Amino acid sequence: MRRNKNLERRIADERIILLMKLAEKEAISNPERARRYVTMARRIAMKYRRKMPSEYRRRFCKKCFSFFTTSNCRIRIRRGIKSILCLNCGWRRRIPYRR
Amino acid sequence: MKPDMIIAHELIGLEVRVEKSANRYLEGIEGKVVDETKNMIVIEGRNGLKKVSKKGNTFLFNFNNHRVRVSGDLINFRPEDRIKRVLQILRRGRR
Repeated sequence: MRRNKNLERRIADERIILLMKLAEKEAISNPERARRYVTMARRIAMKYRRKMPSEYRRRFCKKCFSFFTTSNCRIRIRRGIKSILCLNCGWRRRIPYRR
Repeated sequence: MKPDMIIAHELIGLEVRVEKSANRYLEGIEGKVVDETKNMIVIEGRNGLKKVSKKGNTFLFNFNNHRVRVSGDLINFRPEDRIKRVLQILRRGRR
């Protein structure tokens, strides 16, 4: 029997948004739990080949999956490069931008 | 969304109550779902975190003011697998 992939994708999208919202809510009070939610959202996104919503794509560390708040990341703007340093694992993400 | 779709949807954040269990000490545990693995649901209630096995237990989920009774055997999959697997089960008409 054929899978209804449209329905699967729709549910996957809804679940990703829901999990990321929960992660945002728990990020300050319960960072470990927020990390778990981000991991789960990412797993769903990968499995059903969905994109992470653009508003959340840069809001977590791709290495340790911790959700960024004001206190656990450092964002610096250099010449042509925006660099985000994760203070949990020390991983630095560099994003180019046009000046 | 139809209420019976919650078994393919996200369980984290929902209010839940363990309705029927072979272990009578698990019956009546209620609270919010805070985590989920393949085999268990973690419920945060009045007495802290409780880890309840999915297999063999019946849960009552509160979803948009609908109360949905779900057999744990139906959701005994990894959370990310559940979308695919549960939709298959629903289509075959087994409930």
